[in-house]
Amino acid sequence: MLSVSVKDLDLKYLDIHVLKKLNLDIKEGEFLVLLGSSGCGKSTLLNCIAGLLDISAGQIWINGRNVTWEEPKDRGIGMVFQSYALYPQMSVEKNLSFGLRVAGIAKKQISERVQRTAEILQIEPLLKRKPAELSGGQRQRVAIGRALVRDVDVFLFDEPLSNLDAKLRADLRIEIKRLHQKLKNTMIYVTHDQVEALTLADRIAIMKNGMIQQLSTPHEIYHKPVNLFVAGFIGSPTMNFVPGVLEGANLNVNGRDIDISRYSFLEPEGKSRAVTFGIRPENIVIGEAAESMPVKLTTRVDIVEPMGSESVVWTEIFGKPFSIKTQFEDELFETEEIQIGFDPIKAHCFDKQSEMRI
Amino acid sequence: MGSKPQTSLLKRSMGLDNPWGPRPIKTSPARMGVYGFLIVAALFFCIPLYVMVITSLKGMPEIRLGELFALPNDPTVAAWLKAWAEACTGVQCNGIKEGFWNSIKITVPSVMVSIVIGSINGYALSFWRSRGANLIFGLLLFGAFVPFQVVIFPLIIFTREMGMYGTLPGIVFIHTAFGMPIMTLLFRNYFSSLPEELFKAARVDGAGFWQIFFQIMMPMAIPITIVAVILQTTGIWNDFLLGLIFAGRENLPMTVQLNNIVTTTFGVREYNVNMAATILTALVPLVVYLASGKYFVRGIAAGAVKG
Repeated sequence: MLSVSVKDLDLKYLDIHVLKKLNLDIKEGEFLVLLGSSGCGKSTLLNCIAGLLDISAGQIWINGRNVTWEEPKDRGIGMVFQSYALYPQMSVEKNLSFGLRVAGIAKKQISERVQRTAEILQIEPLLKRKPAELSGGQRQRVAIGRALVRDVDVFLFDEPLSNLDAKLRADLRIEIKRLHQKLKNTMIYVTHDQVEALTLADRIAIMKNGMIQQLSTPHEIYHKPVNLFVAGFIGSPTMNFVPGVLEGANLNVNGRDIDISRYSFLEPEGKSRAVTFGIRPENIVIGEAAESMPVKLTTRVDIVEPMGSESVVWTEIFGKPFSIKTQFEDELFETEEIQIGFDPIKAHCFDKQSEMRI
Repeated sequence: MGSKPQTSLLKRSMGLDNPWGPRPIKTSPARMGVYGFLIVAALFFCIPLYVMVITSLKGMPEIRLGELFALPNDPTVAAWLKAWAEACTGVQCNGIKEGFWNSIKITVPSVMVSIVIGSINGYALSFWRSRGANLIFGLLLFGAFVPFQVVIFPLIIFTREMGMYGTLPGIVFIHTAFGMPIMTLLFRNYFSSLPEELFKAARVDGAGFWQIFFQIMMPMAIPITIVAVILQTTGIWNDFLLGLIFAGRENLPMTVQLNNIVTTTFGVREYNVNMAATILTALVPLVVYLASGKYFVRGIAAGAVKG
């Protein structure tokens, strides 16, 4: 059953077309992440689903009900904001119960629900405190609690972890995942952090310029990006790209022929055409391992960035800066000559014109 | 590198060589000059107040000596008592106390009503951005720049037609109307500086226009409300012209009464009584400033920076 369904959604601010004929179906209990750089419309889309922004055209359905004209409170949603948005003058307990009190629910039931929520999130000792007396992580936990206490079917998260430091972010990320496993609610989560997206999501919707570029599982998005934008957006360091000319299974880059017949083409190989060829830094190997690879090259190390468990090696191939992620145990030195290699089965090919995967 | 400072503690603490620890506080000539200027300026602005206070404590014979800056030989509060209860404001001789109570009657409701309406305006304009909100705000601001002398005559006709001319509700209405632009601006700018997500969260929680206003926004707006109280209290208390024109004979505010005492033309000019009456009139704004100067500066800054 569909939990949230967005149909032909359009949003215009004056002359700016923020969302363009957007369609999105989210299954019950699904964890969907809206991922994109700032200004791509992901937060706007979430606000539209919440009913906090008026849309220009289209429909929004939640739990089989057309809620396009409904107030936020009647949509059966709970929302968590980046800045926590806790009411500063109220204690944690009052923050949690505000929505219930406004709805005129009986006192006994309110305290029961607040208690249960506090137990789930382990914030019982904080109930009497004011938001100013809480740490960032505790505040965000209370903000999640405020959505939880409303007993709704759909949770909306608007970059909830962006204001936290790196360690807390990782901790709370796992907690949100655990919460989802426990509650099995539908969750829509907006972020610009690809690690958050890849770790949390059942499916990711990558957005750009108010349009969804690809809607798929994290695995699919990482391994089979549908276009050049998605390929460049996911992965760190970003995928290496070189322009070339494809003829059959022969790729010509800067006058050098590479046989990529092991690459799985989406469409039958046609006549010669300009392409952008991409390979992820982690799919290139160095040293002896390169010997057994179908494609082998020699190059010189420019810069080495050691990151503990792995190193990123920067070099130049076909006149383009190339990054290589390696777990190469031996230390590498600048200007050292190295042998590299990769398997085209792990490469990506995009049409130069349409930028679509081929 | 790593070697301990070799210099003596004395030399070190004077920062003569090899600086170590906190930088010593230096008083440069420029700084001395600044402080000197500030002290002189402060003294200069205190002179009138000083003259007023000591004159009010003198008797008339002593004043006639013309020693303006001399301390009173025989301090007395007789002039104060007279100014408060007996001085003549025209035909009646009941002192300035009537004006004091009139001013209270005018100021308290005017301050309250203008702040209530201004805060609702500001809240509605910053969070519930309806179509034409900017136009309304622009018109309100335009009102702030129209010199009020220009609209006095139309307002007299308006209040007369409404049956409010020369009454307490009339003058309260006038003060509320003139306070509206600045109150709205103050609250709008303050509310605009609050995170919008707070408002969104309250809407998701199901709170309506008034619930968000009273339960979320106003408790957060206490600092700016204090500023508004200060601005309006001093402004309305110090008003002369509007009170004279619109309040009616029964409700003339303290400022008008003071003018009547000072400009009374018969008998001896009692400088000590005039001084005491003036200080009494200025006392309320003075106390408000002194008691809340911190909020005053903070609020003006908070209201001015964002917008």
